[in-house]
Amino acid sequence: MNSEKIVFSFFIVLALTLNFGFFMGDIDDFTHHNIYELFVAIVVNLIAMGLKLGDRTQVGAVLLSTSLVANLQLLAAAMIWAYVTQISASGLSADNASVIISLSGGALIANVISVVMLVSETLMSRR
Amino acid sequence: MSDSSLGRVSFIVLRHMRMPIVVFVCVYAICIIGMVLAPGLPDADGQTTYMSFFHAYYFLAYTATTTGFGELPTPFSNAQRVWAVVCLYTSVITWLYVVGKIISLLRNPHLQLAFAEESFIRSVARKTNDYYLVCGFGDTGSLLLRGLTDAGLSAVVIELDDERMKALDLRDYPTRVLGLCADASEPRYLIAAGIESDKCIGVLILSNNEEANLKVAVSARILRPDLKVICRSTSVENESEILGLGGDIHVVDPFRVFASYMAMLIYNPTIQTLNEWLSGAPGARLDRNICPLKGGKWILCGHGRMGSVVYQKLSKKGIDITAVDPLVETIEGISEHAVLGRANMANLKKAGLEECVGLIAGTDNDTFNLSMIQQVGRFSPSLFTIVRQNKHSNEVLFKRTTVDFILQPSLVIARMVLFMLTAPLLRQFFKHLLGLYENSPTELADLTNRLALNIGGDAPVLKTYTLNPQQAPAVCLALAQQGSVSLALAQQGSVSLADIYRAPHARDQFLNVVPMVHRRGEEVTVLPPNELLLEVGDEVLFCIKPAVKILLEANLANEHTLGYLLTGVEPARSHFFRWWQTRSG
Repeated sequence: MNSEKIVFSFFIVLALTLNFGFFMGDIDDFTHHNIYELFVAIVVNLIAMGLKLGDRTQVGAVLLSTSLVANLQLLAAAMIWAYVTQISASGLSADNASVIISLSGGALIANVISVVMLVSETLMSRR
Repeated sequence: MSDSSLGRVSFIVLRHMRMPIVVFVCVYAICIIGMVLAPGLPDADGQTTYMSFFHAYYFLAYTATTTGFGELPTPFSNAQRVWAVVCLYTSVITWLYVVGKIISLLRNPHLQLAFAEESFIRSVARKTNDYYLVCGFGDTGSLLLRGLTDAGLSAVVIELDDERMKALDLRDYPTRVLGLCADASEPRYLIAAGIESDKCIGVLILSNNEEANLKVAVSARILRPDLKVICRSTSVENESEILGLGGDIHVVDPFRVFASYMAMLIYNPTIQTLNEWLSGAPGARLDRNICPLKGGKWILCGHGRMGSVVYQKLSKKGIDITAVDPLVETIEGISEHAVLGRANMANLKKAGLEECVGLIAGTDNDTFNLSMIQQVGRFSPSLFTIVRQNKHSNEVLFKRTTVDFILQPSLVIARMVLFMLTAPLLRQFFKHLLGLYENSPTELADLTNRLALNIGGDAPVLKTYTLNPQQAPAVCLALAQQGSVSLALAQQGSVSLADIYRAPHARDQFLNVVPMVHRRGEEVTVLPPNELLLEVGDEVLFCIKPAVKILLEANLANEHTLGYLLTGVEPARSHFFRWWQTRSG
């Protein structure tokens, strides 16, 4: 048992689960999606990215790039949410909601890749 | 070089196209002038109209190519129609003539050769990995190329024989092998094959032509004084000439190599079994010797160039051997141990077939060898038979016979050259084995057992790893961090040989590999001890079970895996955790 492994895997898996939780529901109905969950997902994703910095191996590099992708997508979703609710007059219509949710769906894929790599690397070392 | 070759291509094209182009231009000019001068239909004012040069050219463009859009831009007068008929026939025939010339030009063998050479030069220049230049693609060349490409090395081939080059195109080598059909003894083709490039790391001269080989070796040495050269040569005079060139140069005499191989098989079967197994010969196993006999009387059929070397080697080792050869002059010196005549049953019996233990069918004629083996097999099936297979194409026949061991000179030489290139340290290993065989046979048996136990199976992988940042980045990193105390990697202080082949799932176990030779500078250790402390730049030859090669390479390349192997604790992966460790620790 290795405390580093626990913390590392915890944040990577939590990033995926929160992302999935936000993504669940009808794509154009924002009442199924909680904006606080998006906020927490972004925070956890950013922390996971921070934990991945500084690994010089190839696997480390790919893990970091998946995190970068996930953050990019989630932050884009957050920015669109901020624009439609605060600046634009249209408000949170079904069109806007579907854009936000589909962006978080993209981030979900990146997080899935991240977890798959984490698990397969652990299995490879067979310890 | 590339420029002059391109110049040659354009020269050939221009010379052949000169006449068609002149004819083409003249016919077009006459037709256009005629169309412009021919009076057309009168316009609204009753004035005769004439075609402009542009419209005349336009009309001809679609008529000459038999497209035929009709009478454009206005309907023609009868005078114009008459001239149009003349234009049609002359220009269409001219077109056919020009197209025919172009096609025959493309089929010109000289032009095709020039094109092939040009594209070969360009592909060679574009090569990004190191390659060997192989001159001669015969039996030996093709076997060697198979081995080289399987080992992940790249090669460029020059071969004189057109048919052999076609064979090269049809081979399914793992990497693409570039080939040029040319005479390698002409230096310009050596340059075309990139001998002057830094990427060329060796020239392997393997053709059957003695003089050509010598010339290629000399040219290679002059063009690149530092290059590794391996040259096939059967003549003693040429050999001393080639060795006199100096530098990193080796001569492979197929007769001598093959004869010592065969002699070893008889007087030193343990080592030869190991050799066969290491080279991945099909069916070679460590747990039984190829040739289970020792001592006893042998018969050697064929006492030519190769047979005489076999005879000398074996009789020097005290093995009772009788030669059978139809030529008087070849057995002159050894007439008391020889029978004159062809190797038929009568002569073999005269040579003592009843009381002998083994027979070598070693003539340079596959038909004789095969029929001899068939006859002897019927007479005494228990006899141990070794047969020499000269032509690779006869493989099917040799496989069907009940012979105990087939030796192929081209295969033996290809293997030897391959080992010289991929595992040069192996030579030291076998030298050591020969010493062991004479002094302490039990140690040799221990080694064989160790290899059988750890690796076993057939076709092991032999690979030399150099501890440099390319092949073993993690090891270099660990060694570079010896000074800094803060990192987990450095706690051990050093990396021993055992550390790099521990099992990544449990560090007290080891991978299925055997380190065979270790080299640091000039200092060579055969079967290095596990406690040996490694340094950057060391070379280690490993014998590896194929399935674990990837794990061994991960040990060398992945700092996390190596960190675990060194300390038992996987080092922190990222900046945050390293910072955390220094805070808490």
